Amino acid sequence: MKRLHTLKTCRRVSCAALALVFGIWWSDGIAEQSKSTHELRVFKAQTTPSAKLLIHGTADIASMGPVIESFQQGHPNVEIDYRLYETVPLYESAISTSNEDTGADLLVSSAMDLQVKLANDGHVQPASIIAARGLPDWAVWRDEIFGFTLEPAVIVYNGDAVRPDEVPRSHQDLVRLLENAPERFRGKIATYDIGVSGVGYLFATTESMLSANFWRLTHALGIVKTRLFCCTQDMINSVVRGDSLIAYDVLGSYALRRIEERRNLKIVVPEDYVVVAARTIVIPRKAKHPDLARNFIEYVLSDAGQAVVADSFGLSVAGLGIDREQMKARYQAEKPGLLNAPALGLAALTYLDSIKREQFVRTWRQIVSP
Amino acid sequence: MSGRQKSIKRDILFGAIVLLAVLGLGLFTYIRAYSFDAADTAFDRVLAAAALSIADNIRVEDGHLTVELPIASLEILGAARETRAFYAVRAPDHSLITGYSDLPDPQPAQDRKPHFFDAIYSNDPVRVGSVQRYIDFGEKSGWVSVTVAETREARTELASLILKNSLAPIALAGLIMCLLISTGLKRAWAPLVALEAELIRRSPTDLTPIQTSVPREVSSLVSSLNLFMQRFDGVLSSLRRISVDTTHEMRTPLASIRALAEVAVSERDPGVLRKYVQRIHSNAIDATRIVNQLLAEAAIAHHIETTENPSCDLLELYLQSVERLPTNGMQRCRLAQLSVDEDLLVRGSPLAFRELIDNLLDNALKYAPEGFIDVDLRTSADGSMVELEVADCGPGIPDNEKRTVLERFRRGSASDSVAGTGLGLNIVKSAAAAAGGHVALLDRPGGGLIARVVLPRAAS
Repeated sequence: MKRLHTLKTCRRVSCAALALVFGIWWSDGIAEQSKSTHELRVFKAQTTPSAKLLIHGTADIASMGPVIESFQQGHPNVEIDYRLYETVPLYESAISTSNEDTGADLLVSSAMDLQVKLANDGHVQPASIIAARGLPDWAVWRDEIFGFTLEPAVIVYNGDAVRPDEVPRSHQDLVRLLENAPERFRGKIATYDIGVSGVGYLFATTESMLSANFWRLTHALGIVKTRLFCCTQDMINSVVRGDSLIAYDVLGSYALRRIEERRNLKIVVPEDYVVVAARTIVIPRKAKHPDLARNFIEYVLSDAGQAVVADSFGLSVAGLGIDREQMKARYQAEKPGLLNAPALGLAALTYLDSIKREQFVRTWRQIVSP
Repeated sequence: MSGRQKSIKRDILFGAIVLLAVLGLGLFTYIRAYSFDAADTAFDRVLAAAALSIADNIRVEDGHLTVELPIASLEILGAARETRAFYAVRAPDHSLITGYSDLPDPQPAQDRKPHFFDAIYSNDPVRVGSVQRYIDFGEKSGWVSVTVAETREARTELASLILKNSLAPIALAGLIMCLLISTGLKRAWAPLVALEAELIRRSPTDLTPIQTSVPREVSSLVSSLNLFMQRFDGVLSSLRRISVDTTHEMRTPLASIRALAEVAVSERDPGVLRKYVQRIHSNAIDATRIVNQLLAEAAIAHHIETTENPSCDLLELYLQSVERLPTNGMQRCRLAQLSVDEDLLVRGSPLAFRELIDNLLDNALKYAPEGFIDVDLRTSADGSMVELEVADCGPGIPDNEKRTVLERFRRGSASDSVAGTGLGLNIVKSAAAAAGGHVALLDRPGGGLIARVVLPRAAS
């Protein structure tokens, strides 16, 4: 009996230790990027509010605002509170059982793998969405996760500082550029810290499966002492300021919005391959207004909703498959490469395995910042 | 057919449907269990493959157990798009290496074979598969367990697909069976419907045999129907004949009574008047006898055709007949010695038998005014028949008349001096024939006539 007890205690301790390690590792990331999180924007109802919808999301308010406002035109009596989160805290708030009274009705996240884990572990409720019937396999899972935008990972560069002949048109170009002139780009390349950013990790793992060049590129990034960032906005700002010349694996939707105001900001949609992630939306199991939440998803995936999404996020998932024509037009890309979307499904869970994640991030960090 | 009435068609159809439903329910239960088994067998292999692929990647790094989760390990479970999956890798001391710490921990089997069981996890029923791997790394060596669980959506889907695809033909077969039974019943009933139509179409007086061609199964019904109509027709025509005969036979005595009465009215001489009255009286007696016999014949005809035939004791009937005779007639009848142990039961209308005996005795007494009437009642040699013999000492009947005197209104040449209608022996003949017997008229050795009636003997 005593032995059993000790055994149990041991297990509990080891679990706790593991959770602790995991927690420190995540919170390490949160601390760095807390400046913009938990910002709350209230979208007032146009008439007397009779219902309130709480959305937790990782999409910035500038992108999400138009979508919410257009939904309210059809539902003028609905007040919508939008709270900005980073991907990992969003995930954690969804699985925590303590904050029942502040539970969101909808979770919008660019980290589709974390959303898959939410659904797999039973924290999400299914919704039968009519508009989701046309969605391709990679954009919907179990009637619980719905992709509604396309987020290509693009390369942005400072047009004033990078010569036209230097502009990398593909991943291959980028590798060659960095390998040939490491001194010129030392400390001038920006990319996600995949240990901190959920989206960055998603892009990296997808690329590692997709491209034999991935680790060579990682190595090249290490040679030039690449600067690591938590968020796309910070990377773009750094490029705009001229602190960085090239940022790699930037969320296309943010870059697209910034080039309108910043003449020196340029976008490259790689010609060899493009990783696209879908921004996904789910209804948590503890949602207080699941019916209204369902209406919101139904709207977002409708033709009208998708038009607004395309406007504010650059690309919508409307239509079947991944629309290269849509991307070409939006990004003025000559030859966007092979489009690759990580599938929504169980495969996403593998890279979220704590050991695998830890190993992948450790290896990657050892190469990028030795 | 009214709602309450019993319907064979409905009963058979209802019975068939109930039987098919019970059969279908049994099949459903069986196939359902089988399809779930089949789905589990198929998907358990995938589950085992997932667990084994994880187990193959367990390594020891810096003295610690670690595992690199292969992407395919969970992806193969995800081939069924709806499935949720959970996994746990546990060290020999049951501490979690990676995965879901609260996933059900199987009993350590300590062999390399995959083990499966059902459990509830994350609010859903899951199928859990686990494999064990012995990892040797110094003092902490032991069995590392890999547990992979998946929700049952894909299994249920496959099982219901199997169930659906096996039940569809069965349901179709059941439907076809019901249809066949219903059509079969309709076909089986068709001849009866046709028969009904023909009977309705007939005029009430049409008693000719049914002409509608019917299948073998119904032909016996039709032939009994025809037989019945034939018998009915027989009764009808004999009644008609009797009424015609009655009118015809009554006309002569009534006419002569009337003529005699007219003459008598103007007769003054009391002696002559008395003669007229005597003749009127004897004519009236004749008329009465004719009416009685015709009525008896009608009654027999009616009884033979319409009544159930009980068994009657011929001896008892005989004794009753003798008692009805006038005293001098009673004294002339002499019954032969009977063997005691034999009963003389015959099957038929008692009325007919009574008329038969009455007429035999009446004839004997009438045509043989002298001597005894010897009556013998016995069974035939083989015991299957009852024989009644009435022998008189009268003039007898010549051989050439023996057959004709049995017909109606035919009288023997020797009978002119005796009043009679010519119906008596015919009544005897019909009554005997109705009971399945016959009448024979024989010459009595030493003069006289023997009337022998042979009837089938009824079982006691």
